[in-house]
Amino acid sequence: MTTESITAVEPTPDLSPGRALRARMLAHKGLCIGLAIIVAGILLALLAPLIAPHDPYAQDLARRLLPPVWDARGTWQNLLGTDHLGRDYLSRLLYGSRISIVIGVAAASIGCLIGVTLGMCAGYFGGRVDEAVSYLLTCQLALPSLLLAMSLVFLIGPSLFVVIGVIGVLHWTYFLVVTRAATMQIRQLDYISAARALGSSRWQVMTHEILPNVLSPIIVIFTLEVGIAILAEASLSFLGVGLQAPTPSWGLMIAEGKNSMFLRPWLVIAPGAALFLLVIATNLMGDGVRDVTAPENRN
Amino acid sequence: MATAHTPLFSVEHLRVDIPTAAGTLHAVRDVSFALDAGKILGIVGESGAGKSLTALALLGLLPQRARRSAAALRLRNRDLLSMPERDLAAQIRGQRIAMIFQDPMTSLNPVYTIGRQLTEAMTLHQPVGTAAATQRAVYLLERVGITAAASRLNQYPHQLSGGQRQRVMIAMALMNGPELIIADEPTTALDVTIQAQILRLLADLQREFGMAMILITHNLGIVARIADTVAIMYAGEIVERAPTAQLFADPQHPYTRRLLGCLPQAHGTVPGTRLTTIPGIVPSLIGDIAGCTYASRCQEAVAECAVAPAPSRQHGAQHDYRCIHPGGLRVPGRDLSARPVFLPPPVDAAPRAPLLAVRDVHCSFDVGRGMLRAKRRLHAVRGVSFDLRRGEILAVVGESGCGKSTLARILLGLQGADAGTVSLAGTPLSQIGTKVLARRVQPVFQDPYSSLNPRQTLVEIVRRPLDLHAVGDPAARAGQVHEIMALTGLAERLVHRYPNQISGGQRQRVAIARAIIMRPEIVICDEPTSALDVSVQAQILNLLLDLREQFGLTYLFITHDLSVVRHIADRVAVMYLGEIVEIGDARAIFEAPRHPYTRALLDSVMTVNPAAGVPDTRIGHSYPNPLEIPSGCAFHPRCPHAMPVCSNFAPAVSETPHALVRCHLYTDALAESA
Repeated sequence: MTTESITAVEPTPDLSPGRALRARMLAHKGLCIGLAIIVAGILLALLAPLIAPHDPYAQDLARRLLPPVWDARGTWQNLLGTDHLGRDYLSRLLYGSRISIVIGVAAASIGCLIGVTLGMCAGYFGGRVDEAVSYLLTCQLALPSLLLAMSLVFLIGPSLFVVIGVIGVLHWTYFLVVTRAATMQIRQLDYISAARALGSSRWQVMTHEILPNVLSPIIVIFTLEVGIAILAEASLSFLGVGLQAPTPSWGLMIAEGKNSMFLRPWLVIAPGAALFLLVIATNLMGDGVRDVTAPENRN
Repeated sequence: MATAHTPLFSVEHLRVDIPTAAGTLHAVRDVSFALDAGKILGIVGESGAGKSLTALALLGLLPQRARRSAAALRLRNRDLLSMPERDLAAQIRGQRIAMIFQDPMTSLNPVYTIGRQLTEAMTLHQPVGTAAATQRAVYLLERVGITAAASRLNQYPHQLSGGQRQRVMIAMALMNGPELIIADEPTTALDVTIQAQILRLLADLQREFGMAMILITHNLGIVARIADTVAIMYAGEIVERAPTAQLFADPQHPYTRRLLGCLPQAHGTVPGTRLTTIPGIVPSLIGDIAGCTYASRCQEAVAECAVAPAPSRQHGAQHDYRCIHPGGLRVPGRDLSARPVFLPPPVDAAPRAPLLAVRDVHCSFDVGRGMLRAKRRLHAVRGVSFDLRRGEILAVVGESGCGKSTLARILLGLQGADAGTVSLAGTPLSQIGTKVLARRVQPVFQDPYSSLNPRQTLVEIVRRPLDLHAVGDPAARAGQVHEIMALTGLAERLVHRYPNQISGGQRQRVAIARAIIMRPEIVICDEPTSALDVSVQAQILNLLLDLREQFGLTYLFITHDLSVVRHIADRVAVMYLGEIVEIGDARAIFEAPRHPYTRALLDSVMTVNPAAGVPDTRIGHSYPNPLEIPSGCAFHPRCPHAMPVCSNFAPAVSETPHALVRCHLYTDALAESA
């Protein structure tokens, strides 16, 4: 009986994995902040038609280049002032977030799909497959991607889908390198042998055993690539081969505002700050998601 | 210690605390001992006992965050506690106290030659020239059994085998003629025959140079044979300390007694019997433990054990232990479970068709990739043939590089053979689909840390085979998982844990549960207990034998640990460099080994036998290398009985009453002279 009294410190039953995950997520500050900003951003983008004070395309040349409300000459009618065609800057910023978020997530997803697939194949099969994929990687790394993107968009013709496709197709190298290295390491482990000995097919081994274990670095790269894709769209638009005016896109707004940057800095600062906030938030969220899902942080 | 006699080295009330996010980890709680010149102290404990941190703390080499405190730490009359780090480095470490680490692969610097590292060890500490240091290096290399020592000085560590590197490490430790050597698991990374040779060398040198030694190990057999005094550590404390013979003959602490019972073949355990186990795991070392550290696992614990620390008791002059009970109170009937002997399932008496027939299987790989490096052929398995009969346990024994793991992969269908056939109940493996094979043959791997997917919970891992093979509906699968977890001793509350949240023994239970949930006929165990502590190893062996009894399983048991083999195997196959050199009835082989390699392996086994000393294996210490397989009989360069014929012709298999042997000693008339 005495033995029982000592060993009876029976731990409380474990939380189910879902609830434990939620508890870890709530305890992670960076993740909460990043997630909050992103959710807010998505809500603003979705609700843009309802909350935007003006039509983002409506020009009013009489009210051109008004400064924001905190400037002495600003008005409450245009909180962030107006651009060179007299369009309300806040409204354009809100509508622009739709494009930036869509491009960021869609382009990063395309890159992720390409890079992770190639990387897992190269890492898992090795040999010839690995050599072929590595050759492809070398080619991609040797080409200046911005130049390539510019010429591709120029050749195909600029539209939202083309810009997303081109950015996505050109941004898979990080995914590939990271996935390939991680896969090669995991391939050696006994649980892969155990899975094969259980009769798993190659496809099952890759999706069920390897993929979940290479997820941590992929999540981080993904959030990194979301930021990079948004910036790439901004660069393309800035250079004039991205989305075409009058589409409201943050990159385009920066491009258009650059001419009068010194006299009217808000034209660049407002979309720039929005971009900065979104990229930071995605990175915070990525680090957070990796931290709460990584096996070593489960305690 | 009230006499004028001063011990060579003494430490009192050593503590090591490591601050962590969850609280302070008291890795070493209270360690005191004194060691006289020329004596060997063995510190034994399972993982997490604080042995290695004790060793590092003695030398002031703890990781930065760790804090050390002690009442006294002296080498002769010098106080090492208050000595500044610079003086410690210049005058003590490497000079008066030398250290030998566990892993010879990482403890030599790969970018410097052996010679430079050896001489530097001396010139750093003493005003001697390079020439004198080189002379001593050559002398010591010869002394530690390295041939052509002078030419070896220009070699780099990667050009030496593991055993040679450990010899170099020993030579390096001896360069300055230290008074004390601290050896932390010096042979754990080595194969059994090499281990015996290195230990024998250490013991000889220790005697010859009159050094004291602190030998830290998890292996009770090693300390029993080499140490003068043994200290048993548990959860950061020395729980019992006594002269070696006395400790093993008359252990007082309940933990020591249990630990000895866990050893297969240690205290007269009969093969096939249930081994003693220690329930539970080492308590968390974070925070204070109010009572006795062992109370939570002790079968003899009473209420006070959880409240007050165990008092230190004396049993004779030099024997002390920490336990509330004088003499450690033995509760009769608690030591063994109700059913001591396992009933072996009926083995086919007249071997009809074997369950698994392996015939002349070969397997080799190309190693060395790249355009400029030549490819080399690694012959992992060279013509292996054997039968696995239904219901038996066949142990495949051999050292690293002998091809036993490759053989396992071939039998599991994970690796194709270059030549030869494997047939399961008469059907060649090549004609059996992977899914069908998976239901009949399942593995349990060595390392429970890498054999479970870290991203899946236990229930997902155990249920995976059923999901893959679409067995039953979800409710039935859940029921089966529940049943198999109970059978393998996994508590229901663990189902949502991930592998990194459970102990090593529990992980191995999960791996076993996954292997048997589909009721395979054959389970191939590849070193299933070698990554585990002895108390946990005993649990896993008991479980494997239980399951065999219940499901009539057939095991192919791959291991290098002969005491485990002796405990569970019906038949034994001994492998050397890709060949089976001897195969036969386990009892016959253990009683009368035929092949010189089998004999050497058996000689190398260090059972707990304080009187026996370190065994002499009497075989050469060249390391078997599957890239350069010797001509003729592959064992001839190490064989004490090698004859001219051995280096030219590979021996055929000869039949002896209870075993098949591949050795020239047993071909023809020579058999008589053996």
